[in-house]
Amino acid sequence: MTNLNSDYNIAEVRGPMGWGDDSSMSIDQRHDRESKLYDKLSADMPVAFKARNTLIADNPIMDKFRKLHDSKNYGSDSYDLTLIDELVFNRRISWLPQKTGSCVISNSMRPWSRRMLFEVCVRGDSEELIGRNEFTTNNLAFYAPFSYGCGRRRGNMRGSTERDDGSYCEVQYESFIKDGVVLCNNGKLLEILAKLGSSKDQDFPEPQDNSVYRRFQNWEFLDTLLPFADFRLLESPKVTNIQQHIDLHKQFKPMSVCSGIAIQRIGKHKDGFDIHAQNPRDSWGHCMSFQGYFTASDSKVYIRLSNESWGANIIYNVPVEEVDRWYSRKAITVQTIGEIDLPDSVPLL
Amino acid sequence: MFKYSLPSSLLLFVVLHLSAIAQLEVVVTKVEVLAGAQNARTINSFILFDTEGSKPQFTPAALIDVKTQAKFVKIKARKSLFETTVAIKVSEYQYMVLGTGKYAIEVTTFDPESGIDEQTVSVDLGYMPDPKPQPEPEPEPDPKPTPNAVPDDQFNNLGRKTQEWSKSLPKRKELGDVYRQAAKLLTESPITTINDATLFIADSKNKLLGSDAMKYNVFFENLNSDLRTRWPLSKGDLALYMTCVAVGLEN
Repeated sequence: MTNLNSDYNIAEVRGPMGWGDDSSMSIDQRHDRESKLYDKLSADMPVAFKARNTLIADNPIMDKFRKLHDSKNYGSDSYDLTLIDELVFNRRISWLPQKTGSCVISNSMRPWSRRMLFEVCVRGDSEELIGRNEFTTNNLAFYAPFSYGCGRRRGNMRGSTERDDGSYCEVQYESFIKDGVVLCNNGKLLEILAKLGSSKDQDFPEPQDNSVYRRFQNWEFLDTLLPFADFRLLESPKVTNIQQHIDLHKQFKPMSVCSGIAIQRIGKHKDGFDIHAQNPRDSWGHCMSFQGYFTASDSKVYIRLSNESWGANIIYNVPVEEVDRWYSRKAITVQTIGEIDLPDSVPLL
Repeated sequence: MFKYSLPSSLLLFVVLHLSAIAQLEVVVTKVEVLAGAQNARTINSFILFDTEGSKPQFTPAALIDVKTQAKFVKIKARKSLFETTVAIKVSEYQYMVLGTGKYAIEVTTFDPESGIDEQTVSVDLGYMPDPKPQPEPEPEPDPKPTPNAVPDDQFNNLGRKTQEWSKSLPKRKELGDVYRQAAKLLTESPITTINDATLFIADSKNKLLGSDAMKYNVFFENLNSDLRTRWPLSKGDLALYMTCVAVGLEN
């Protein structure tokens, strides 16, 4: 198997974190906060948290996606959503790394976009992509700072300094479910960004000016843009065990994971890829995303844990047994990106 | 009938005398005739005829050669006492009887000097079944269904409906190809969405139909009404739908 991340030692890369809004809170306290937020949210909208088991019908593009898996020398029981960029665009989409503590949105926006690609391009839903490019106003993601601000407002987190950065998975998902997202080509948004001087191509989907990001996280512009928000997340089961996790990946459903787990490289598989696991001597109050799994030649299963908000190609290969332990220890808060209500296609021939 | 005013005894003498000196011989040769050929001619062993107006068919026939020195020959061919057929005169001493059946051929010769001679020969030109009343043909349903080149297909035989809706419209096959290309895009290109495919169709049909686009108004109304009743369709199903439309337009 080719090394999936051969360009550099990805486990050495460090970027900004931002899980939680109070660095004095312990990891367990943050999980407790997530749990309470989830209880409230799931009581509000129970239907959004129910899994919709969707069968993936065979079609010629799904066959191509399967062959792409095969080309990586994966075993047949493999579902790696990180490959979808390569299927659709022949290369990985690499947005610029996060510059503030925006990991909760930065590492949720990426799997959201890949899930959209799966629904439209592979499964062939009668829905449309929200964009086509890596950057520009016509990019493949929603405008991240707006969603980040909406999530933080739902968790009553305010502030525009570096110290105020951060959010929780559950409030972010509450916003995905209840608010929807704003597209980068929205006229009102562009009007605002033009005034802020933040409308260059690479300012989408995430502005490169930290002060712009932080104005949104401090709830500015949200009410102006909320009427234009749409494309809500319709399905978001909370994942609590590894079997549920695997079942969801078999439907190419990714997940955000908020935790204190730090990752390190623990070795190299005989197939050629690096193996990663928790670094017990470190802790990251951080949000990443699970984006699938693959089976190696020795039939061992590895979960693809994306930390691409820290850099292109930062995707760890974590043994399934390790992730199972995380669930058992309740060391992770995991929320699924299932069905998204995307723009409808027009039935006109 | 011949009428003479000679005394009967004298007549008998004359006839006996002449028959002794002028033997009548009738030779029958069975042949096959190529009938219904216009402007037929022969080159070597080939029979040529004009395509236009010809309905060639082979028929059994008999050539009747009358060998006599009498000046006049008369032939009758009959199947029964009351059923005669025409013996076609080929030359003064040759005749032809045409068509299947068993014939009695009566040859009578007359010569002012040698008198009258007669001979009857039979020829069998194949079995001709007695004509029987033909059964009345089964009444056919009216209107008679026309053969349809569009096979049963999906979406409640959309291909046939498309064929019906587009009857007599111009550039049908070319438009069918547009739908086929759009279906291919949907099934083979991951980035192609449904709106991309329908936009491709819109652009292509505008270029293709030009001023003929107006003639397709009812067709597109019918097609889109049908599509709306089935919506939403996945990319794969819409590709199948477009393929059915293509088949209907191409036939």
